[in-house]
Amino acid sequence: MEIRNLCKTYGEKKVLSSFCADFQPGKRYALMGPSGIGKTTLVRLILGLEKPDSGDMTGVPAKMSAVFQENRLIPELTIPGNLRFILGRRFPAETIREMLEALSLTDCLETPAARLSGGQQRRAALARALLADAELLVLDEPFTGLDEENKSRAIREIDRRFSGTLLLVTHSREDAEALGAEMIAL
Amino acid sequence: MARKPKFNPTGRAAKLFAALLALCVWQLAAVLIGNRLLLVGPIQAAKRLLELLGEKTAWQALGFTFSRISLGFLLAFLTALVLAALSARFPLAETLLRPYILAIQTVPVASFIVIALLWLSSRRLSVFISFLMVLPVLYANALQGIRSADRQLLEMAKVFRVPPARQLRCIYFPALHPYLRSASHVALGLCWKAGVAAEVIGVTGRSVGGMLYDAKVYLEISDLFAWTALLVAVSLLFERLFLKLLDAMLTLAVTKEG
Repeated sequence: MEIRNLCKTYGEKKVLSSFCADFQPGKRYALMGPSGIGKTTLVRLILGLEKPDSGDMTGVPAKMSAVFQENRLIPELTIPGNLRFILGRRFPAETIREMLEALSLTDCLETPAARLSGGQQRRAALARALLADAELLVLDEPFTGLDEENKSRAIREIDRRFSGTLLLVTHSREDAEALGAEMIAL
Repeated sequence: MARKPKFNPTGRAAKLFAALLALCVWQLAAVLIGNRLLLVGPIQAAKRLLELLGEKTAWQALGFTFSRISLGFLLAFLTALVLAALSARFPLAETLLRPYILAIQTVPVASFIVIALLWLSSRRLSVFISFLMVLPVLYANALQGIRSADRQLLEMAKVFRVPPARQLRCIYFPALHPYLRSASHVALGLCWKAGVAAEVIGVTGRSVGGMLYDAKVYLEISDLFAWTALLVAVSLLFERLFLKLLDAMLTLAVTKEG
């Protein structure tokens, strides 16, 4: 995936200015930098949620998955419901069950997402991103609200289940190192 | 010591008392006026209502009016959803529709009834008028409902390439539901009023409106009250059933995903 001279402005504010980067398939990258530097904007551009003012992006995979800054779960649906929403009804129940067990989410399967704790919602968002069929996984501050134990579980599942290109947005060097990601300073 | 139960001014008992009081006021007014051509009391109206329930023609009239008005409402409901979806997707569609919606909202219903009488037979009039009167209410609310759908969820669905039908069921429908519910509550009352008014003005035979017209011509004031009570009962029943159906659809949409 090649990014050349990417620019994005919101009103008067220039968020990205001639950003260039090459992302190799199957490698892991951590986009780092202070708040407001444009990390989230960059991943929104890559995910196709925003259009750049100028610049080129080539080789962006068609199949992408993400953990957004917010959990973005459908509040009325349970965790399995939220997973089925993106995976469809034919997706094997066994695979879903394994993932939920790995992330310690089996004790709240009947609860609508709106009534889950922040940590449970975050793990559900992670489960969703990891079960989706994707070549590029974007993780925007994925471990927010997770205790050390759940964070380790999540990292273990990412390592076990995802072999595509990974883009991590984080402030934490520790998280980038734990995922073995190459750091890119914005 | 046992506590004295507190009187709740908005509770069931208070509402029942208010209804009984209104009936007493009505009966008292009928007694004071003392002219059955001007006002009958609730007892006479109830007697006539019971007689009507035993008449085949009354059921036929009720069936005729109910089928026309509910058809008008359901057509308006579906049309409003389609138009709102178009307006939400294409801003030009909203601009192009605005004059028609404004015209329907501002022109008196009587004018529409008279115009429609020139185009349609009086037997189809109530379908058209009830359709026309509720369309703007349902359209405006459906559009607002679609626009209230959570943008973050829609972005998530886009990234994960979720099929549109599933997005419709799990993101748009829950967002639309409260808007459609309150709009349907208002619109159902409106369509019965407008539909029956159209039947009265159009003198539609074998309809509730036609019966009300006859009651006026023959000064059968007890018929007028009995028919009115019957209409109110049927419209309330239909409203309850329709709103329950909407709620059931939401539950089904949500539970279908697990």
